[in-house]
Amino acid sequence: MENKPTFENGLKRLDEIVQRLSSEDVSLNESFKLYEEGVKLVDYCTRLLTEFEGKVKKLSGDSESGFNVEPFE
Amino acid sequence: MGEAPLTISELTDRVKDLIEDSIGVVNVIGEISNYTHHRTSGHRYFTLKDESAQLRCVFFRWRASSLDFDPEDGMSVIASGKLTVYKPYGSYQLDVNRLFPAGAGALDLAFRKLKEKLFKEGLFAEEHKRPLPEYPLSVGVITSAEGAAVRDFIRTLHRRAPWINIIIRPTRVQGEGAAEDLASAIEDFNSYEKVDLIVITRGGGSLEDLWAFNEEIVAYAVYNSQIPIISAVGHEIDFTICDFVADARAATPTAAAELVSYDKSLLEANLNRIQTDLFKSLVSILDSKKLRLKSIADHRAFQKPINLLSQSSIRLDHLSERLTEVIANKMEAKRVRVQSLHRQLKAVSPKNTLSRGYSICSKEDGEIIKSSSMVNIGDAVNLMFAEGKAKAGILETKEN
Repeated sequence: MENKPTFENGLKRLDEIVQRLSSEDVSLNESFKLYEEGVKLVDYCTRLLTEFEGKVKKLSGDSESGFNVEPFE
Repeated sequence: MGEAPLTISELTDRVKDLIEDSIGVVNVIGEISNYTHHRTSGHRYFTLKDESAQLRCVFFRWRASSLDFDPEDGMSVIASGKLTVYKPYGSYQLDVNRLFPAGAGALDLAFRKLKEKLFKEGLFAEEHKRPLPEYPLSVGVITSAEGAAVRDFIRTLHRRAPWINIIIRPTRVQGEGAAEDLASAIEDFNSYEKVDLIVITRGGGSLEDLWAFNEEIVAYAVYNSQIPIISAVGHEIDFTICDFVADARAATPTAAAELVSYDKSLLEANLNRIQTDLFKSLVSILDSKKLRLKSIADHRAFQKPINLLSQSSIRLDHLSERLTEVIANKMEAKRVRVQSLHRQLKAVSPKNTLSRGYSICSKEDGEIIKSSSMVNIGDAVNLMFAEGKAKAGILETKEN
């Protein structure tokens, strides 16, 4: 997942792509590339929403003794 | 009769001395009733009472200036002053020196004083408030591990945004040590660093129950947090200092979960819309390129060759017509010439001569005889007339 954008960054990039696609001076070649990237990002973000399962954890410890994260309940 | 009777003044003086010497300055707690602020004198008059007794009080203008709250009927207060006797009425009353709110009133006053202090220090300043991350992936929650608040928060957030990690830091949320707990939990999340947002929350309760969230130590911890904080303490009507300092306030734990993230269905709808936009943009780019291409093609510059071509074509047509015409003319001329030649030819044809009565005489080998020297007597010759032929013999020759 390191190289994958976060949901927020994905949406930001999508915003840029839509903006760019709406501008006058985009070349045909670029517009196809942007469209392809955009469709992939939409797909990726949708999967993030539907497939990623957040977890509930408990934080214990402190900055001196170190933090510990364990399942909550 | 025993002793001589006392005058009223004498008796009242004795009561006055007795009361003022033996009781003197006291602190007394009770509920205010019949509170009046005398308009011209500026003195305040009221009665303090409990279930079974009441005490008249006077708060003179020059002392009342120390008031830092507005006393009103029903309010529980502690009055500090000297018990005195008012001779004209033969009554005793409390000459109030200081008045303090008691119970909830005291907390209320403390709340307002701290609020004012922190306001002056800029802890509530709008420009200090950090924006909330739009799409957090990890949320730190500071709350009691028990109780409905944490359950409400988790349930609501999981329903709306199931991808978000929730990290709970359980703390005491009321009573001794709660404020210190809350403050250190905020600091801990800041050193832990792995949350995008902190939610500090607890369910509703009395002012006393929520008091930890009104402590200075919590206010400063919230103010100094590098991570944005949503405060959701109590119910809609409950405001705490923590709410004022936090970057955002939610009325309830459920409302906090709603504030943390967009709803899943909304995000999905947004993504769908973006996809549609992408497609529309692409189509519109293609359309505009096509239009541009057409407009370029329609440009005069590109029209020229076509013009030239069509002009050439017209010219070609024209030429070709001309050519046909010329050829036809030439043909006609030739035909006329051929006819004329034919006529001339006909004119010189021996047949014409023959028809005038001449005949052609040729040797048997076909050679035309032009001189008598070409034949000898006895030779056979061929004669050709205009109509028909004949064979003849030479009888005689002469040399002219």
